[in-house]
This record gives sequence, C-alpha cells and structure tokens, in this order.
Amino acid sequence: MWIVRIVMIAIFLALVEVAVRTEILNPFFVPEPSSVLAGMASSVTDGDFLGMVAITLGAVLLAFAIAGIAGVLLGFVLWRIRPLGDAYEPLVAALFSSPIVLLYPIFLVIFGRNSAAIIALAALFAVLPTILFTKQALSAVNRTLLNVGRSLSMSSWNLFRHIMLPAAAPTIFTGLRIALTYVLIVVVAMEYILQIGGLGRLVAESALLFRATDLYVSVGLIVVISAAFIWLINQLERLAQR
Amino acid sequence: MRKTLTTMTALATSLTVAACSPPGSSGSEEEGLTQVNIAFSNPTIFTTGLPYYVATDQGFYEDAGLQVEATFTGGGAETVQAVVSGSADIGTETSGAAAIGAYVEGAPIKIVSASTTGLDLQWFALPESGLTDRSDLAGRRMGYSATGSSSHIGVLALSELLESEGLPPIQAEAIGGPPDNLTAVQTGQIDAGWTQPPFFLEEVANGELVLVADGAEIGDYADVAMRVNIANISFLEEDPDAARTFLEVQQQSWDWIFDNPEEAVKIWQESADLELTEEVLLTTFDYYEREELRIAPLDGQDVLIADAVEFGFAEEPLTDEQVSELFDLSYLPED
Repeated sequence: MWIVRIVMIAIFLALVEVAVRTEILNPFFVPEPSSVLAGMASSVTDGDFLGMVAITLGAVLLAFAIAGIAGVLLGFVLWRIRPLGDAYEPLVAALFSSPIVLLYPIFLVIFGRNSAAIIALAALFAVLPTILFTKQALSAVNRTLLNVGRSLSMSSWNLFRHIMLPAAAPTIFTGLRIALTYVLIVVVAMEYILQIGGLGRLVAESALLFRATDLYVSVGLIVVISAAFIWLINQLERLAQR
Repeated sequence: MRKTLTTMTALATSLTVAACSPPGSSGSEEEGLTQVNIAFSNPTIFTTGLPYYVATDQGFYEDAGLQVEATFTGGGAETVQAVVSGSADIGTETSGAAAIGAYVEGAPIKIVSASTTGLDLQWFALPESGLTDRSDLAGRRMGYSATGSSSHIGVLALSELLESEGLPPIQAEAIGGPPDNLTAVQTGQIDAGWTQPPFFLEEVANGELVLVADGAEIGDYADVAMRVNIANISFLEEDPDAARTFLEVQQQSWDWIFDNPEEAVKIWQESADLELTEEVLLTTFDYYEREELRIAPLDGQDVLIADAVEFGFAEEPLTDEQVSELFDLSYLPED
C-alpha cells in the first residue's frame, strides 16, 4: 500500500516537473518539484528555518495540549454532572460552528501581538470539539459493560481505566484529531495573516516576495508536520485502547 | 444525460477560457469605453485614493474613454500581486522595491511611471510612551502597511540608520494602514505606527499623540520616486493606449487637485467617507508639492535598486538590460 502511495505521488510530481520545464505550467507560479524537494532537504540544516519550524511546532503543541487537557476535563465534567451537560452542550456545539477565529483582533489586544495570542485562539477553537466528543464518548459507553464491571466489584478507577476509557477512546480521539487539525490550521493561518511566528509567516513573506520555491518548501513542510502529528495521535489512540 | 454533459462541458470550457484569458481582455466595453482594472493601495490616503476619486467624480476617465474598475489593496507587494495575477492591469502607488523584487523573481510587470517622489511618512506614538525622537525607536516595535510597501522600506531604512549609530534595530510588524496602526499603538501591540498627512495631525496638535520620526530624516529620498505605478506586461502589449490614457488621466487628476484644493478635499471627504473636517484635510497641501506627485520623470532608479538589494527584495543589482526592461517609461504622456 505504501509503495502504491509513493509511486502515485512520484508520478504526479514527475508530471508537474515536465509541465513546468516545458512551461505548460508557469514557473513563476509553480516551481519545479525537484527544486522544492531540494529546498526542503537543505532547509533541514538551515538554522533560521529550523527556528521558524520550532516556533510553529511549539505553538501547535502548546495549543493542542491546552485544548486536549481542558477539553477532556470539561467534557468529563459535562458528562458527570448531567444538568450541566444538558445546559451547556448545545452552547458548546453552537460555538463550535461559529467563526471564532474572527475574534483574533481581541486576542491581539488581550495577549499582545505575539505567539501567545495565536496559541490562545487556537486552543479556544480546538477545545470545543474535544469537549463535545469527550462528553458524547462517555455518554455512549455501553451500560452492560459497566454493569459487568460493577458485578465484578471493580473500583471506580478500574471501571474507568479498563472499561470506560477503552470504550470511549475512539470517539475521544476523533475529537482530538479534529482539535489537532484546527490547531494546525489556526496557528499557521494566524501566523500567515499577522506575519508573526514561524512557518505561516515564512509562507506569507515568500508569497509577498514572489519566491515560489520557498513558498512551496514551507507549505510542503507544513503538510509533513501535519501528517506526522496525525500519525502520532493515531499511535496514542492505539496505546489508550490497550 | 447527454444534454447535461454538453452543458457541463460548455461551462467548463468557458471557465477555462476565462481563466486563461490575459489580463485586460476580461473587461467588457460599455458604450465604447475601454475597461481597465486598477489596483489602488490604502484608498483613503491622499496620494493613493484621491486621484481616483477626483477622476471618477469629474468624469476624467469617461472623457478619456476609460471605464476604471478599482481593486483596493493593502499596498506594497499586495498591489504587485494583484497586477501579477491579472486581477489588475495597473497597480498604483506601490514601492519600487516591491516591484523590483517581483520582477527579478520573474513577475510579468513593468514600472511605467513615478507616483510619489520623496518619503512622505511620519511615525507617531502615545505621549506616555516616552518616545520623543527617532533614536528612541531603537529596539521598539514599529508598524508598516504591507511587506514591500514604502512604509516597510521606511522602517527598514530607519532601522538601518539606527544600527549605523550603534543602536538596536527596530522590530518591524505588518499592521496595515494608518487607522490599523493607531489601534495597534493604542492597544500596546506596537510602540509606534506610521501615517501620512493629514491623518492624526489633529491628535498630535491636541497632545493625544506625538510624532517621533519623519521620512525626511531618513536617508536621501527627497529626489527618489519611492512609489511607482506598475502594469502587467500582457495588458501593455494588448492595449498600450489604455495604459497611456490612464497615466494621462492620473496626471490630469493631480493637476486638477492642486488647482482646486477646496473642491478636491470635498470629493476626498465624501468618497473616502472620512470623518476629518475639510479644514484639516486642506492642511495636506502644506505637506505636498505638485512636483512630488508628478508621474514623470522617474528619479532615483539607482536608489530603488540599491534598496531592493539592501533590504532583501533582490539578491543582486539589476543589469542594464533588466533596468531598461523593467523601467519602461514609453507609456508616459508625450509632454
């Protein structure tokens, strides 16, 4: 399967390479994939570039950690205290479908024009799906499983650890995957719009300076980082289900 | 089914044809007028918006046979992007450095005239900031409009000047136009913002803001065309007369503005929906000479190229061949 994926991507890149070299595609807008790949390879040893990657990675990790921890805890509270859940779940769902990202000017005023504002906005945006999916996951745990656990005199912790968590994990991790996607999008988009921070800023500067190769190198690395994060969260999910 | 497929094919074909059409060819001609798409940066500003508002109000475009469709940008490279992408045939009031940077990367553009000669920028701060002159700006966060804009070049040049005096460099932030800079200064996002006369001069007079630096203090830009007008090559090849006509109208508008300042500020106030009084707007004429807003000659090409290299928009100076290709002043009015 991996070979098929790689071959398909390689064929696509080869076709683009030919199209650019024969000027079917305008090299001003689309650089040769070979030069982008070379740029990606050389950027790995570029200190300035790695610094920008570190800024973006740091913002993503911090925002995701805040959203993940707060979201799971709040989702647990909404599930555990039913009146609270009934009262606030619709509100959280409504906020989830709102364009919260447009609040960024307010975040700039509160946190200043720096990465803290981006992290706070990304965390706020990402905490909502985590809350919703956690509550729904815990609510959907099969009562029969819980009754079996209780009949075996399992402690509350063991009931949670060995029955509830594995049963709820797939849905909770679906929420976390969505949260991670939102964090990545918000962090990079805000860095792009505000021209502060790491890779998003680099993409903006490359675009504004018409450096197509740099732009595609940055975007390519953002895609690689996104794929790496999704892979990582899948591994965590497997770990939680054991 | 076949009918649906035929319709879809026709739709796809028309979309493809539209997407592949060169800039300038997409405009429909109404009543014998030639449509020209123009990118104007920061349209409320005197040097960018006013000639467009006056030409529209006084019917200069129609009289010259043009139907101008305006696109508004944040300035600098955003204006160049609009021209490169074909959204605009001509981009006005963009910095020479941004245009040079785009050209060396292969952008299909030409610089066709000067727009503003000299650096007409001022930087302001809050009185409680303690900033009083340009040396206080060392190490501070300063706003500019967009990457490659003249306000960006101004901040970079000021930073370089401070560094040459042994002071820390400025932290430049892309904030937007003067109103955005005011908000950013008032909310502590940046220490100093940029403006152009007459914006915020009233606040300075009232003591609500202080001016900490002026473009005249930075380098020797008095005789340099810091902002230029650019055009897409496809448009120039397809309709050179429209480009010439637009530049003629641009000069005609400036002449009219300086001949009729009272009427001009009324048009400016109404068209840009400005809250400033006509009296305040009239003070703008204290800061600009007619010659600074002429479209020709285009002075200071060597400074523009040197700045483009110095500030990272181009890796090396342009060759003579590149200079003559990029700076094409053949579209200027003959007189």
